[in-house]
Amino acid sequence: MSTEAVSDVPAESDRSGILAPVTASLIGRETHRNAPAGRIKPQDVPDVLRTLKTESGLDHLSCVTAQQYPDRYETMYHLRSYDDPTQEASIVVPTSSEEPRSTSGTTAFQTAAWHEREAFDLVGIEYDDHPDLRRILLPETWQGHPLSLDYDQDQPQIVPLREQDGSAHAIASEGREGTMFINIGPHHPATHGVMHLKLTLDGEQVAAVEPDIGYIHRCEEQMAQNCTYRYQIMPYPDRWDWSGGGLLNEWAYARAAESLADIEVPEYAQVLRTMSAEFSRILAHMLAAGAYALDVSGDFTATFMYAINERERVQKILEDLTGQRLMFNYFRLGGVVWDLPEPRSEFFEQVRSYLDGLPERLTDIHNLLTGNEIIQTRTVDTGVLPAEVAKDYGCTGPVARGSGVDYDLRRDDPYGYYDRLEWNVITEPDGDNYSRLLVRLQEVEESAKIIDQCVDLLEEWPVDERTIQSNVPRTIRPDDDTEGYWAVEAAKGELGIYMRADGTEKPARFKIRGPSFSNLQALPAMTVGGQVPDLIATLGSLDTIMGEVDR
Amino acid sequence: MIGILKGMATTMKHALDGKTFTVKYPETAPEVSPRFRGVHKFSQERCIWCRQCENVCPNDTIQIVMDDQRNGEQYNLHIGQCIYCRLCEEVCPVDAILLTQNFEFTADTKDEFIYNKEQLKNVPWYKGIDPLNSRNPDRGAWIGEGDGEVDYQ
Ligand code: SF4
Ligand code: SF4
Repeated sequence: MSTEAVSDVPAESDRSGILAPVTASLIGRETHRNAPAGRIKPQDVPDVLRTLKTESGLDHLSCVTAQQYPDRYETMYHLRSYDDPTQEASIVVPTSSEEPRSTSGTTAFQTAAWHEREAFDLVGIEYDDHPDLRRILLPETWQGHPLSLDYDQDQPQIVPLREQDGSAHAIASEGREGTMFINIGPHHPATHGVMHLKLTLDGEQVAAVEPDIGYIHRCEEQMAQNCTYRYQIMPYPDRWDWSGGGLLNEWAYARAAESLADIEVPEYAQVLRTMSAEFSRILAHMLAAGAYALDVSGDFTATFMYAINERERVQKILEDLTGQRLMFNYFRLGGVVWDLPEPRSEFFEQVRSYLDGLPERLTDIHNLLTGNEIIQTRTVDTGVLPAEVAKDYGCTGPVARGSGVDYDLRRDDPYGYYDRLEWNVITEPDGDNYSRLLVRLQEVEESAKIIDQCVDLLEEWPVDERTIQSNVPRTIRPDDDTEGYWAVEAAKGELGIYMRADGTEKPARFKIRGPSFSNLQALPAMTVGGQVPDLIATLGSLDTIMGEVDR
Repeated sequence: MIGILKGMATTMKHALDGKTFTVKYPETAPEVSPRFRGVHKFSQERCIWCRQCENVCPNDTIQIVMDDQRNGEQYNLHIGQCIYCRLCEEVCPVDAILLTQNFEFTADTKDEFIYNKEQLKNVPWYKGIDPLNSRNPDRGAWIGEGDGEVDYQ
């Protein structure tokens, strides 16, 4: 929100050319800390988004944030470019308090469909021309919108199963004789968490599939809004991804909060962050690869154990460093909580011997997994996701890179120490299940390269310059009305956080863009028309973690 | 077919090297890192009842009751609700609350996990590791203090 002026943030004026193609539609400008922002009228949403996509190259709708102010509602579209994510813009759509009614952006970006459903569900804004405006996280008979200002949290909610709407199936099977409706989940080993697939089958063929999510919605956004910036939020990002990506998630919060409150991070802490975060990525990717073997065929329990074995080694290192095996809580605003454990030489040795053995163990895993003909028959050319479709759904991470979309925020929107290290972004051109698996396994090698260089740096670091945390006050109160969206490359892709401060020590709005949320949305596009077993293989290859889908 | 054979050769290779990761728990107590965060230990002698731990705790796990003279009466910590973030230890100015490495705790009902200050005092050290010494060596050791027999005033 805030000022109408553009020029009060000098760094922004040179970038604001990005909104030039839509100046005619702008009804005002806003100051966002991360990007130029302009306000538009609800009816202009589809046109503006489309124009920015084609003319300013903003082809990635990262996130849609909705929020309520005392005098209005707002929908915010955070756009950036897949080629250069530092090219960003935010489009803000204010709507009245009495009748929060906006227009859907789905004709410009498919991914808007789920994001707007969430905005409707949690905040209560309605979107005209939306193809399917239903609740998405909460049950369909839920009363009220929990993130709206007048929501009564104590109001009892009765959600009987029989009143849940079965319309999805009705639509999918309409006009089709002899289709069959099947539920996969919500408790099913192939769904990696509590997820429910409403599946309409025509023989063995998938006629329609609708992911039904929200089973483990834990109000993470609202929880963060009730926690202080300084300490209390940091333990929670770990819990959005329990596959081991916790440190990467902590970094998402750290990056957002540090940018919002202008907190410096010492170089030494950046190296520690980079190293530990890459360990975290190895953890997450190893689980993805191991569990994927099981998804494809139950005969791969041995492979799963090899992956778990690998994780165990990493977990030991991370436990020594952070004090926990999964829920690390290692980052702090302005740095990390601890330096390396003493004696340092022992720790370095432990990491080195891990890295030395890794290539051989990865060869083992390749022999067991990617070289195996059963895996290959099941994954090559199944679940194909073309690059254009991936972009339309806002896919990021290994899912996008497996489709040849060369997008990695570690390189493209650098943070931490990544831009000073030698490593590669892995892409595979084919977009099938096999590619996504290959991308993850190769990324483990790249992570190892990064860790190796970090250890070199840490070993050489002068003793008196080992500052692990900058001086951060005990209470942080970012200025009223500062806001912005920042993201990092988490295990599953772009993990973004939008925050708005209201001058208190807690955020007024905290929106999480979970990468799996967008990735999962592409599932129907990848599976309809294929066979049921391929659906399972495809779902597994997305490596969704329901913690960040449902939040 | 070659791929499958290669896979079998791989498993064969490791089946014979005799290395295992697992331990026979509970006969063998597993190794934990000196920094590992487990159940809390509390020292009433150290505590100055500043309530900072209670304030920083992200999920209201700590409940402190004081009388009108601001003397501490109760210190309750729900070890089943705690997320083991260690923020309480981090903010405590006098290291009166610490997370030991002890991860073994059981109860019949959830309510029994609400530990009062005596129970918290009696939480044993795990394998004699002093958490403070291993995490913040500059803050001085804790172990040996408040180890059972001390008579609270
Ligand atoms: S460890 Fe964290 S959750 Fe547990 S009591 Fe301390 S502050 Fe609260
Ligand atoms: S922070 Fe430490 S001294 Fe203060 S009340 Fe808690 S345990 Fe006692």
